[in-house]
Amino acid sequence: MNEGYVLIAIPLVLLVLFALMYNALVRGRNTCDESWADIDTELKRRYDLIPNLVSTVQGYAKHEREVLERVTQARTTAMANRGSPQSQAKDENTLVQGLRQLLAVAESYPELKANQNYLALQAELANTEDRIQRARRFYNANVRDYCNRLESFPSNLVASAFGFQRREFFEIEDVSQREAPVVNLAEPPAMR
Amino acid sequence: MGHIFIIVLLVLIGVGFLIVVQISAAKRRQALSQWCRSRGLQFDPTPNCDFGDRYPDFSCLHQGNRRHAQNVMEGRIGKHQICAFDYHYETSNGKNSQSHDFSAIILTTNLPLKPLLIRHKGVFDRFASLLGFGDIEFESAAFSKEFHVASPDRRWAFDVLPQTTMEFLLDSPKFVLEFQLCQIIAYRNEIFLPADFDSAIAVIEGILSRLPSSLLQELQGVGE
Repeated sequence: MNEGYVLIAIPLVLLVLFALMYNALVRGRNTCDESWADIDTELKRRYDLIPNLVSTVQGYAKHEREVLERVTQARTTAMANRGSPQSQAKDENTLVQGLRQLLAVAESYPELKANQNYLALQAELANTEDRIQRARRFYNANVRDYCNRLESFPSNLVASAFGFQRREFFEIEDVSQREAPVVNLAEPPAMR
Repeated sequence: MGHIFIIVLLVLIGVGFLIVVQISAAKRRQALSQWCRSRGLQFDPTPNCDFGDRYPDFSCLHQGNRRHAQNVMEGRIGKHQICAFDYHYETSNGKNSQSHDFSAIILTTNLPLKPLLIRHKGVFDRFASLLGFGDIEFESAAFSKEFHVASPDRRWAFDVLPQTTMEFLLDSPKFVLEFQLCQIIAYRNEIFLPADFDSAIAVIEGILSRLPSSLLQELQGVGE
């Protein structure tokens, strides 16, 4: 009689464990999708700011056509991208580099720097960058948790049986971040 | 004769103990009163049994029975309303009852905060983490190893704890920190020295000052 209970209990326990692991994987995948949608919203917010920023800078810096066109082109490419997070990140980083150049150009025009519309756009851009970085960090944390489940035993068995796929991390640069200066350590500094 | 001597000795020890307790309580009241004066806070040393009702969301103020707050110190420090106090409660398991005393500080802000718990990990937390259960894991391995973080809203936990705040907390004195709507409590399971209240305020203000600017704008937008 007892053996009969054990024979029923063991598959039942395994089934419950299996269901828990499967549900945790589904939850992890959905959380990644939701947090990716948040990033998408913040990126759209940045795309919406760029035309205003470009036209404001254009009003004062007509000779900087090359930089302005580069930003506009980078925005169009990034907006059209519907690929993986890594491919999106590549286009976003090109856009970020263009925006950095645009802001650097603006530094040479004191009247533009004092323009209230430009200042408001610059503040809004900084706010949007902060939001993008927050959304990116949360997305990457969710991807990390999900990938840990995909690779840990025994949930990796369930994941491979049901074809759960890895998600890519999303690494992008921040417009406000400056590139680190290149320091040549091979040569000692000249003595004065 | 021998029995009477033992009884008298026990009574003397009891009286001596009570005197020592009274003297140390008076010294503490004096030290806290001085601390309050130096910071412009109001000081009320009388026990208050209804104190926990003012803060229904903080679970640490609703444990056990025979609860009361004393040495309550209130007022403004900088931009925030502060309430610091000693708290007492008792737990019992049938025959024996045990007294618990701790100090805490509650900072009230105009930001509509969400529930969040940050505390140092104990042995059970570390064991649960090894098994993959428990708290929210952050990208900083050092922080995740040291701190247990729990919140019904994971995104909120990540927003409140950016890299700079994690580094700040790793270098700060140990406190249990609990966020509820517009209030943050910092405590640990011991009575604070006056300097500990300053440290607790510094830790809470350090967290608030490191909130991402975009989050601050969002919260201020909601709070208005």
